[in-house]
Amino acid sequence: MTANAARKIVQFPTAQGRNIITIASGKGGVGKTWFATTLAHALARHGERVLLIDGDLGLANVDVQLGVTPQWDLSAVLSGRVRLSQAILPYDAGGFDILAGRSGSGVLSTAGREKLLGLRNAINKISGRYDRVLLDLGAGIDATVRLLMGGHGTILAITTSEPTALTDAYAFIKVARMKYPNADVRLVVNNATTVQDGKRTYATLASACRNFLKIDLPLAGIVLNDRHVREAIVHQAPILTRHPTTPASVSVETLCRRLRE
Amino acid sequence: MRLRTFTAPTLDDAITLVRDELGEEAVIVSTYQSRRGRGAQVTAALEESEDDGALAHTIAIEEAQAEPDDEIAQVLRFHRLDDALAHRIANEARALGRDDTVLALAGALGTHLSFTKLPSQSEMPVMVIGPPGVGKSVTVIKIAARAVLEGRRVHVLTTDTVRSGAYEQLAAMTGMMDVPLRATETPDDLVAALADIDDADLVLIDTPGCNPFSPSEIEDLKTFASAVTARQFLVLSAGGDAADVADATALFAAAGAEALHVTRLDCARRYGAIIAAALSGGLPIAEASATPFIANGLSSLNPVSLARLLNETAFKLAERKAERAAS
Repeated sequence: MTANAARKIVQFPTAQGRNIITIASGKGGVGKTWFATTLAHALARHGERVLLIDGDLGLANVDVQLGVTPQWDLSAVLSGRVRLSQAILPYDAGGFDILAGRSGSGVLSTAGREKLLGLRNAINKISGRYDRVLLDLGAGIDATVRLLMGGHGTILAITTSEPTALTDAYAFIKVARMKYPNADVRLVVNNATTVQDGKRTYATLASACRNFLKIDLPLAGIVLNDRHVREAIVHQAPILTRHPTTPASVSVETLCRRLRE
Repeated sequence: MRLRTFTAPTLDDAITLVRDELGEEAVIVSTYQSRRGRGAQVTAALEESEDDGALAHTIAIEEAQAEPDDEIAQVLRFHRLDDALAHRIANEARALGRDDTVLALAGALGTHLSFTKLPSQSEMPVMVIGPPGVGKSVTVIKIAARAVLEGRRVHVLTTDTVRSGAYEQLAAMTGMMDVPLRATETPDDLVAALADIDDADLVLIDTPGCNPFSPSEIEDLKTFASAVTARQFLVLSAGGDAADVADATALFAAAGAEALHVTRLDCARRYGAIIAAALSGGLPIAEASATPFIANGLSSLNPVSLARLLNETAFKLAERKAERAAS
């Protein structure tokens, strides 16, 4: 190894991770995974090469919602049985790739700090092969969520109009900004009864962020409440294909277009 | 954050409810007035930030341990700076947006550290203090030699009357420079000796090694220093354990040290202790010594030269290891 090579081993961080969209919430049950899969689908329909990673290490959901059975999942990657790239599975119905978590195992939620940081680095590395990587994080703000969260891309915090969803989303935003003071954090209001209602929810949280955290919280979009969402999930089929013109689909499409600007 | 929504006949009523129930600290984050006279709703938020400090600290440590690819953080960790500090300085260096590692590191160091020079002349006597064995006496001689070469009149006093050979060591060197030397046993002796000196540009006072973790030794030091209102320059040798050195420096700084001089740069490779020490004591760095030779024995330090030193030693060892691994 030459002297030059020795110098090259350590580089300043590059733009790795800029194309990662982290989807988080604080509170569980606000529709994070549904939103992540639908957004991945929307981006793929615009011609982007997308990877969706189910980063919920306790109770994985992406594969269940999409009705796929992966050969390898995140637990195999974390235990070192396979490389991350080997565990990736193409999801043909959506035209994007998936890296599944593992439902019901809970084993992953006890993965140590070293492993989680290794995973985060591996995710950063693989992001170079895609136009966009969506990382569906587990609910909450515990160490696992904090360790997997990267700061170079966009962070979408999901909330509904429910007060507990709001306070938990606020808690998440606070932690995200503590970790990455310059992070691009935006709000998604899910399950809004009307656009007006969604705007009120946004305004409430934006006001809290402005007053207490002294930060501006941009609105990524409002997703309207829609019974077709549940129907598509039950059928394990992507809503954009099954009900492309239903309000929820239109909302995500709009949000996707805005993200791509 | 806590959220509560209050409903009342009018907006004003609702706001009053907020103030009554949540107090002045609450912030109103949403208001709604029904147009059909069905009352008003006000949502108020109360922030609870008592645990924020602890959370921020935990997050800082998590971040510090999370970024292995940063060149500057690697350099600083090589020098045994603790993770949180290495990460903080590396972040600041990166934020400066310079391509050159050395200049970026220098910029970041420059915001944390200040640099000064050892005096060649001084109104008040200059007392050189520090733990045993760091090179205080040699430092006194180096300062004296430089001042003499600049044409100053220098006198040396020493309060080290305990260590055998201490006086003799000084005498051998002051003799060569024709600089007067006198030993003083007590603070009163020191005051008297100082009074006897008529026309010096610089009076240097050598001291016995002081264990900073011994309150009585620190007290003795302070007694001597205050007796003659001496300026205290702390001497430390490079390469010690950063935490130990930082603790010691803080104690010496509290006892009155005004600057830190680092010796034996040539005998060490890991310099994190220097940075940790200067930061911990809030002391400017007053030059360094990287040679056993007296003439030209003091090297000035500034952010760029320190950054260069840190960077080059880190890489030299990495290269040698790589070469050994390859052969």
